Amino acid sequence: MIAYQYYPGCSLHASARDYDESVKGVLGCLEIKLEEVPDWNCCGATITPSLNQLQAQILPARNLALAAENKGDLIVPCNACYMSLKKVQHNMVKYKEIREGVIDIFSQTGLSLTGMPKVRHLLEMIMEDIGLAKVKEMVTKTLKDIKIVSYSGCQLVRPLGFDDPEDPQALDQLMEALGAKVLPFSQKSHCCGSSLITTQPELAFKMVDSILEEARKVGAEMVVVTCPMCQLNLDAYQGQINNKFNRTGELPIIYFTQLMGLAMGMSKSQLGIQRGIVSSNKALEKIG
Amino acid sequence: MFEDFTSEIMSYPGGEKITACMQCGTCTGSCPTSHAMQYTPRKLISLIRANQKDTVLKSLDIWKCASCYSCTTRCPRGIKFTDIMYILKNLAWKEQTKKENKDITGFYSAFQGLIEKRGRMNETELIMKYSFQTNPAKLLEFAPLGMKMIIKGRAAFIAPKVRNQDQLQKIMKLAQERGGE
Amino acid sequence: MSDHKIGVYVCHCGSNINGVVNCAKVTEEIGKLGEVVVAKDYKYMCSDPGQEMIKNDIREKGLDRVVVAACSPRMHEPTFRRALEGAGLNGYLLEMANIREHVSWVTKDKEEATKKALSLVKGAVKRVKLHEPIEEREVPVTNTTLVLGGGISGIQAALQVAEAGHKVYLIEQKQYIGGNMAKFDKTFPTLDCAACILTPKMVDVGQSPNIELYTSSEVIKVDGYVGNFTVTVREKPRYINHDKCTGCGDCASACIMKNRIPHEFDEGLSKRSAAYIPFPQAVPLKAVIDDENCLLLTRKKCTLACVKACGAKAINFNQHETIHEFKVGSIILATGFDLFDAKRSPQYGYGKYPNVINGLQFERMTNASGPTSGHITLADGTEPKSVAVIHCVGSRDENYNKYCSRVCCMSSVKFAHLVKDHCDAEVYEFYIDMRTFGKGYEEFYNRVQEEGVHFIRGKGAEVAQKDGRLVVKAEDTLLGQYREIPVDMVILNTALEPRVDAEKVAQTLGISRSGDGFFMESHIKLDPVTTTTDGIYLAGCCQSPKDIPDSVAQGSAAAAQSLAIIATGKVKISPISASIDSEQCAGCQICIGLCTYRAIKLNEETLRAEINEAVCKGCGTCAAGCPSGAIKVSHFNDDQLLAQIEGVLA
Ligand SMILES: Cc1cc2nc3c(=O)[nH]c(=O)nc-3n(C[C@H](O)[C@H](O)[C@H](O)COP(=O)(O)OP(=O)(O)OC[C@H]3O[C@@H](n4cnc5c(N)ncnc54)[C@H](O)[C@@H]3O)c2cc1C
Ligand code: SF4
Ligand code: SF4
Ligand code: SF4
Ligand code: SF4
Repeated sequence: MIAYQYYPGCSLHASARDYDESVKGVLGCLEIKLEEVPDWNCCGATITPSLNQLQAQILPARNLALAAENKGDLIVPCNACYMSLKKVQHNMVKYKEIREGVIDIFSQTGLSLTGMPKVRHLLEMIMEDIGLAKVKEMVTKTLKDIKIVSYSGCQLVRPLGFDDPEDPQALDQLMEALGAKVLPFSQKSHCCGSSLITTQPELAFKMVDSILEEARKVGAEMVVVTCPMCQLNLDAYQGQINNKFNRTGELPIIYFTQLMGLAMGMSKSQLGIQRGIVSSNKALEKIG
Repeated sequence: MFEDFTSEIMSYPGGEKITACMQCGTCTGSCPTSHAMQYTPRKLISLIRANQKDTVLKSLDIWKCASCYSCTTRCPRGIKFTDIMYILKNLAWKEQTKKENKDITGFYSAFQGLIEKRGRMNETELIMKYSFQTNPAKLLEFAPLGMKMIIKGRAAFIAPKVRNQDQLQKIMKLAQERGGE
Repeated sequence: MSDHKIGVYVCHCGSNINGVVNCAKVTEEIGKLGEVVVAKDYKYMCSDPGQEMIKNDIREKGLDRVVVAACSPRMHEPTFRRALEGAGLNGYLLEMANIREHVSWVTKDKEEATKKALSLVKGAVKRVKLHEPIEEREVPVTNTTLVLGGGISGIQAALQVAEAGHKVYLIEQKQYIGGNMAKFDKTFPTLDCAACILTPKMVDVGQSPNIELYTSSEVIKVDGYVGNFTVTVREKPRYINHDKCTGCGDCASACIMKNRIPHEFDEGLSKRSAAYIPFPQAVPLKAVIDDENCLLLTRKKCTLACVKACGAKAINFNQHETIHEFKVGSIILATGFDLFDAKRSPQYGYGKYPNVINGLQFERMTNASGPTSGHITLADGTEPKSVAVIHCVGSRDENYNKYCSRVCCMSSVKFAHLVKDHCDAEVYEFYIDMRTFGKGYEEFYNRVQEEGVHFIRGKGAEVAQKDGRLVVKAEDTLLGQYREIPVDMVILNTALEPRVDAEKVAQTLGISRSGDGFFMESHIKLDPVTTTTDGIYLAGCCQSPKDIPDSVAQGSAAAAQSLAIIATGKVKISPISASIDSEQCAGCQICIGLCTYRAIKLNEETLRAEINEAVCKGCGTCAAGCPSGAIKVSHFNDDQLLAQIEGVLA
């Protein structure tokens, strides 16, 4: 049994409970053990870095300090957390003033940053450590050409991500392995505007709309996502946005782990699929 | 050698390469919100280089950045413009923005306040705090969505927090005191 | 050893050195050394009066050793050697101390600079005492030339050498010559038709009695040295007997694979057969059978329609590759460029949206004998109403190539003109800077501006598809506004890049590449035609991106270099070379693998390594690697180097 450390991030305990449920379900099936980082805190997302650079390093860095040195890579399911954690590691190597600042502050509070674990997105781990061959083996109920577009979002692939920043491939490949029909989609790594949705909805709504609109145009039945922020933005606000832009046609926004779980024979409720604001029932009809 | 404001930006992590900008506009052309900006990303760089600190920090355009990193990935001169946006927001937060815009100030302080106190985010609480700080009528706008989230079991009612709150509050305070950059 | 008379000359190089190094002080200090009979500083030592000063001192004061502290020896060591020889002293009794590149140009600290300069000069003084007179050698040359690459620059070089009456072997990888230029319809800035100016030259190549043309060929091995290279060439079979083929094309029409294989010459815009004529003006105008697609050659099964169709009985499936060996005096490299693959920037939708094309595809479209017979058309066959040209795709960009590709601003302007000329669509040019620097270029830009083309200053950032049309997203930087401009066709003007096989070619020929990947010239300003290997010259885009006028000029320059070698009949070979003491050599052969220039061979009889001094460049790699210490390099022997180090550290 391979073991990893797990940093769920705030959303997975609340608005993305469905993601958390499906992650745990799927990894359980794959006999992968996740150990949650003890007493983790919020990564600060895009808010803290906007206000105070050092605090923006301190928040993710505390999680890295709390993670164990030898309990496996640190797996992160959220694009924003993934980027924050990776970025602080990057900054600590690149900038002396940041490195010294963090170390100094930590030394006054009994935290230490020796032996940081490798930070990896859940999708990255599944693609690289488990591999498509093994995933295909686990498929008991193929997705029967259900038409999807895969939406990786921005912070999974930029600026320190693991896939092509303009035309990411991993999610497409994984979905094909499950038997889904992946449609060409130019918005794959465009931003959904999550960080602006509350303060400047007029900007964010336009961003979400262009993603949904292209998905509809290419004939997608669902949009597959890798991030709780994207999911919330595309799912929960979809009604308002469709009204505003006069669009018809609801698109369920589903986590890649939920589709993995279905293909591996798990039930919808085990995977939290009923929690979507836009219902997936119709889209998932054909796979029963 | 450079104007003061340019040198200042260059002194922060991520701002080093700003003088290599060739004003090609790739950043603006790649930016999902530049259509709504008076000062586009490229133009912000030229304003910085022309030492127009006030104009830059007063502009609400810097708060329109969605942190998508498109500009950073595509810049042909390797300029980390997203990081520059963060630097500008940090400076503006200290010097300007609080005077300029209630919505932005309200949301960012609500978020930061929650983190500094409890270490974890709770969307329900964040929205309530934000609304009270800006305009309580906003709560009504959020209500329908909030209801749906509650029905679907996607809202948390017990405020999540870290166990070692003392430690978290202390490191955040120390970071604040160190001046932030 | 106090019997030397040394002269030390410290050059100011204007203010280049003297601005940082206190030359007078260095001179004064060095003058105090025992054997230094005379020490002088001067504004420009390389000038006539400077050299005269040295010569006079040699004659009058009887100097037997000279130290010049100045710039890098790369430039002026030959100058000062000649000065010594002019005064009757062997040129190798000179030592140069580099106090410019190694001192004044790399620091602003005057005091430290002066100290370092003095140390370097002291080292030179110590060392020069151990110098020995050596004589340069001359070897006879073979009066033939090999030109690699049959684009416009290679053609130019080959024709000029041939016209001067000397034999040329022209080796071309493709089945035809002409290179990239053969694909164009019009050329900037004068808009002459490419075929009209190129075809006569290609025909001349085919007809010149002095040129032996080998197409479908590549160089696999180069041995020897300037004046005396042996080049091995592999010629792939075309499965066509050239003597019989009339170029009628009947085989192509008959071929079962007709219209099924994307045609490279048309940049994939048309389909061809497996037996085909590359293009109507091809030289040689002979059919070729493509062994990757021919059914007989790949699957051993075909109705042999081509063989039946060929009245001339020219098809021969029993051809095999042929290996040729040529003895040549010099080699001219003219392998050109590859076009940047726009798929590497997925944001532009190349390969995804059919109406996003690259510059060469556009060239083929406008060519009267091209896939659309000269019509600019969209994928559905209709004419575009608006076209965008995006500059600098893959150029001037840290993510791909840092350099400017130099020709694409001008070719973009040409494209705009051709669109206006062919279909009067709106044209939007997205540029960062307009670089129209050549003769007649700015005038051409001006003319096209007046034709009503929209020039938008801002790099095209992305191409999207919206409501069935393409949309270019960019900032109009002069307006300071984000814009989305809908168009029907987008032309990506992509970078000129080093050939994919550039590294392999560089290794085969034993030459270097510069940081940008192109072949490296000996001096970027003063010797842009010679490589770092004597006798191998560069022409055209294989050295750096350039337009046709510059490619042709460099082709001529390379030809002049080859002819100069032939004209003198012999070449001087640097006497600085390694030699092996066969007594000490253990025959381990380590040195053989170390030598980049392949100068060392094992003597099969004595089983000891031997160095061909003519090939040896005196780099010293073997000497450092020899476990028995059997190898010595003249002018750089251990005693000399140790003395120099001692002097520097003293
Ligand atoms: C879209 C476009 C439009 C242009 N329009 C113009 C214009 O209007 N006016 C202008 O002045 N310039 C123009 N140029 C520039 C012009 O193409 C070049 O200046 C010119 O082609 C350079 O010639 P060359 O002989 O150096 O290289 P190439 O044309 O690339 O020829 C090199 C030849 O070497 C052969 N070769 C390569 N490797 C090997 C090998 N290993 N062994 C043997 N043979 C080999 C190739 O097959 C080829 O035949 C344009 C360029 C582009 C990309
Ligand atoms: S993309 Fe880079 S070089 Fe171009 S304008 Fe923006 S910051 Fe400057
Ligand atoms: S990171 Fe900000 S400035 Fe840069 S492209 Fe994205 S939204 Fe625009
Ligand atoms: S091979 Fe025969 S049929 Fe083909 S072009 Fe030559 S002569 Fe004509
Ligand atoms: S020539 Fe013009 S288009 Fe080409 S790389 Fe240079 S600036 Fe860009």
